[in-house]
Amino acid sequence: MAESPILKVENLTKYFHTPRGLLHAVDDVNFSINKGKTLGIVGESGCGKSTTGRLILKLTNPTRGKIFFEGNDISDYSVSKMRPLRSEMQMIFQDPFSSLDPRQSVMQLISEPIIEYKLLRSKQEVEKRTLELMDIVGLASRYMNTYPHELDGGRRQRIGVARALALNPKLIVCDEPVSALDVSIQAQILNLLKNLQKDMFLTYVFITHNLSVVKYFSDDIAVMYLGQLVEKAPSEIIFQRPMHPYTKALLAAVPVPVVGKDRSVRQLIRGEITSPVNLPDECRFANRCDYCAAICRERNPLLREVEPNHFVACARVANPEDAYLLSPAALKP
Amino acid sequence: MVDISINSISGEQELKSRSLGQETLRRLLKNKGAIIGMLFLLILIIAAVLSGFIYDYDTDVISQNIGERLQWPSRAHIFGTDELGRDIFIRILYGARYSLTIGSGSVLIGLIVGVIFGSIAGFYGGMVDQVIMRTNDILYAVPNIMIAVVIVSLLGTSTFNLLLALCVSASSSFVRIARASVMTIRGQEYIESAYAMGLPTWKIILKHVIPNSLSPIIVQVTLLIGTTIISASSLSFLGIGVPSPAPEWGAMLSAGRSQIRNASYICVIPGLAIMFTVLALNLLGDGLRDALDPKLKK
Amino acid sequence: MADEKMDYMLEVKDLKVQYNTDAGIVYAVNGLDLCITSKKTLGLVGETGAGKTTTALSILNLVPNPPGKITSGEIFLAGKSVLGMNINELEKMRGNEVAMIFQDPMTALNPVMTVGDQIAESIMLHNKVSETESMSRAKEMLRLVGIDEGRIHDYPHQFSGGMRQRVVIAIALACHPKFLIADEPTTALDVTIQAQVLELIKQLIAKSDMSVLLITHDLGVVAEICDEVAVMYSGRIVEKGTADDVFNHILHVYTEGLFNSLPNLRKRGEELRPIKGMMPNPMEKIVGCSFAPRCPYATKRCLSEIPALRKMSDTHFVACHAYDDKTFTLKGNING
Repeated sequence: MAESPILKVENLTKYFHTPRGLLHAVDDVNFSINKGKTLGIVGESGCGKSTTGRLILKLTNPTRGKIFFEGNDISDYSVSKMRPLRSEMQMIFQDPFSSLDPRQSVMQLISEPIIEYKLLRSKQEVEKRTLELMDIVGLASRYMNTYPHELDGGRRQRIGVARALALNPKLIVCDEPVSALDVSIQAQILNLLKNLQKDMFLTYVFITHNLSVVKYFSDDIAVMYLGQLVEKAPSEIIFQRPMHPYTKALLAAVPVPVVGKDRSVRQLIRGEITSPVNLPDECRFANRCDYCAAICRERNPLLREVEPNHFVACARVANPEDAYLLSPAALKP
Repeated sequence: MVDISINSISGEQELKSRSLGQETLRRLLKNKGAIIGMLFLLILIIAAVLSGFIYDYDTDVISQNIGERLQWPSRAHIFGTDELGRDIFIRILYGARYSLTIGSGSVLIGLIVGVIFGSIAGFYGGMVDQVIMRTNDILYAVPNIMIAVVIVSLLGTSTFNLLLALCVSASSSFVRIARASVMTIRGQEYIESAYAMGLPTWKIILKHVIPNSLSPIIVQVTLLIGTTIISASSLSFLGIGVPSPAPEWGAMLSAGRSQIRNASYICVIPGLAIMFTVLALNLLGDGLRDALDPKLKK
Repeated sequence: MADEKMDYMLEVKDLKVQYNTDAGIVYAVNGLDLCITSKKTLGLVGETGAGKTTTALSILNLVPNPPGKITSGEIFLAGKSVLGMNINELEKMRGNEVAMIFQDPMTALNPVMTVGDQIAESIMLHNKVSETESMSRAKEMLRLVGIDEGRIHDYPHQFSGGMRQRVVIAIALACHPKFLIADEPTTALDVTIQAQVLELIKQLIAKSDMSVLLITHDLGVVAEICDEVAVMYSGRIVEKGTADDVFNHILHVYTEGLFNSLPNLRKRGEELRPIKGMMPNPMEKIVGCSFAPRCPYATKRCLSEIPALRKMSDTHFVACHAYDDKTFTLKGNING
């Protein structure tokens, strides 16, 4: 039985007009997520993943394209029409230092959404719920009247999670929620998020540049480059059978914490990311791709389903066998 | 294995929590200059208030006593008497009321007006920003003495009209500061977080933007009171400020010019009063700026 | 063992550094022992607040004073005592025999000077050469780090993050230092750019005879570049050895916890096992082992006595009382 996805975006596009020209922040992105699942969106800086996250929540309006939340087209919803929906879709921000108002205590920060939406009536009820939330995210109750600047990054991020949960949302967009944290704290927060997902049947959009984290966390992964989706597949598949040259390069670039004979030689990517302004109609990865052919310069390749549930936007990959041809061995004369 | 309680993991178990305001106060109180400034101002304010009760305006402050005129400072008259026999000490104390009222009054009104317009300009940007800022530039460019002359010639000399004239230049500097501050805060992630939560824009401005933008504004308030006092004194010196015989310090300075050779204290003492008051305000303002400096990261 | 001292590029003995802030004293480094063999690369690993950057600054006596103060310890660079040097000797050494690169390429370069001038500045400061000669050496450096020579008159803002970091490296290596301190040199860069820059650093190290102190929190980076590893916790070293020692024969519980916290690219689905609790507040003066509150093997002794670095093999050292018992091994159960 095919479930209707909780979130679906079609041809999602966001352009910015800058003095230098048209900036393609997000270009023609398509994906859907089923309830209770996690979609990881991966890419480096400037790929448009953060903008995509904000588009989903309508924190910024799309230039083109559609966003469907629980089947409803919210793309054109005004601010006031979005308001009741806001309690269903929340965000966890990257920087636990700047995403909390320094003038509010922990109690005020977590109870603000509850009070704003009048979810509970009396002061005692609000306080009780706040303490409940603090307990869920692992914040000791004695921190209730402390201020963000007195706490460390891990605890601040827990406040951010509690805030996002306060409205009982169905969907949470996590924008690099652990990137600013130390490794051991990262692990604590990731475990927390995973457990919450199980307990509360949450759907996550997990935005990050950290491949190891996204693998651990996501059911499906979408790789973005310069505003476009270049590959999308279930998590294991992306790591076992990456097809797009950029995905392969990204995977190869991650420094692996292993010492000894099992270290494989890494295939590195050359060059720098081109500017996202005034992009010509060709493959955006062409300048850096070792497998670039004439066809790659003719037009921007579309995202195609190359094998079940595995989408790739590369002119040279029409079926899985092609992907294997795009390997270092094939480059040798 | 020894049972070690979780409490010892972090050093925050006492949790004597301090808000940002309390942190600022603590840092401020460590600054010697700021404390000197605050003490001086406190004494001045108390003196100004009490002088209204202790001394009667008509008999003590402005009544002339030709017999006692031009006496150098002595035990009977701590600061001496002026050319009309009036006790200068009493007049200085009483005069503090004018300086402090005009200084804080015009700055306060300017603050409210300036913050409102500056916040709107900073928050919305675009055309709104342009209109507000260019109007503000015009007001800012006109010297406040000129504005005072215009207002006074239209409405006459009085304490109130002087205050009004000084409001204009005070508000124009607050518009700029508030705008810059708001523009910085607007980009912060916690503002985005408020949007994501569905807070209406007006609430975001009032609850999150303005309270966090206050730091540079607070510093400016103290410094601006100082300059406003000097402006008020200058205008009174020129005769378009507080009308005589009111013991406004600038007016006293002006009146004492004729006696500067033989009774210089008549000029010097009001001058010193202005100087020390503004100095105290500046020390406080600098202390506030240092205390508010957000070096909160450990 | 007579030549022991000569074999070490860097020797740090019982270093203690504190910062006297108005909020209290911050004990940044608490008895650190470190040594780097000549021509080797040591990775100094630790989380935020462990004291890594303070250690790096101390080596060049660059700890801002006030509020920082080196309260005790000795630092020897190629046999010479750093703390005993006067300012002239220090200045002669900095940028010349010892170079340092910092984390953020955006702020490490002067925005109003061309990159060529910035590289040449370092060369002219330490060598008696003409301007033309220093410029041509600067061009050489740009080539060495993979930047087109023609960009010598460009300004920092005209370069991307990765390229700026290459310029920073060029400046650091311009005087062919014997010792390089790199403080999180690739942390602020994108993954693919990080890989490029790490590869560059690796090649440059191989070409020269430099010893390197690489500070990082990323165990992957350490595995990529370092010969030796030292793990830092709360201002002191808890484990050190060769890369193989520390990665494949873990001795200290904290090190084990660090590895357990990593979402490994290989084993998906296995739950992460983070270490309970947090690093102690550096403003507290700690008695005994600073890791004890989080340690499942802690005993009474650990609360009162700081463990010294104990030799477990020719290369491998660990600071832990548990190894008093010769049969002790980690059970891989840091969460108890």
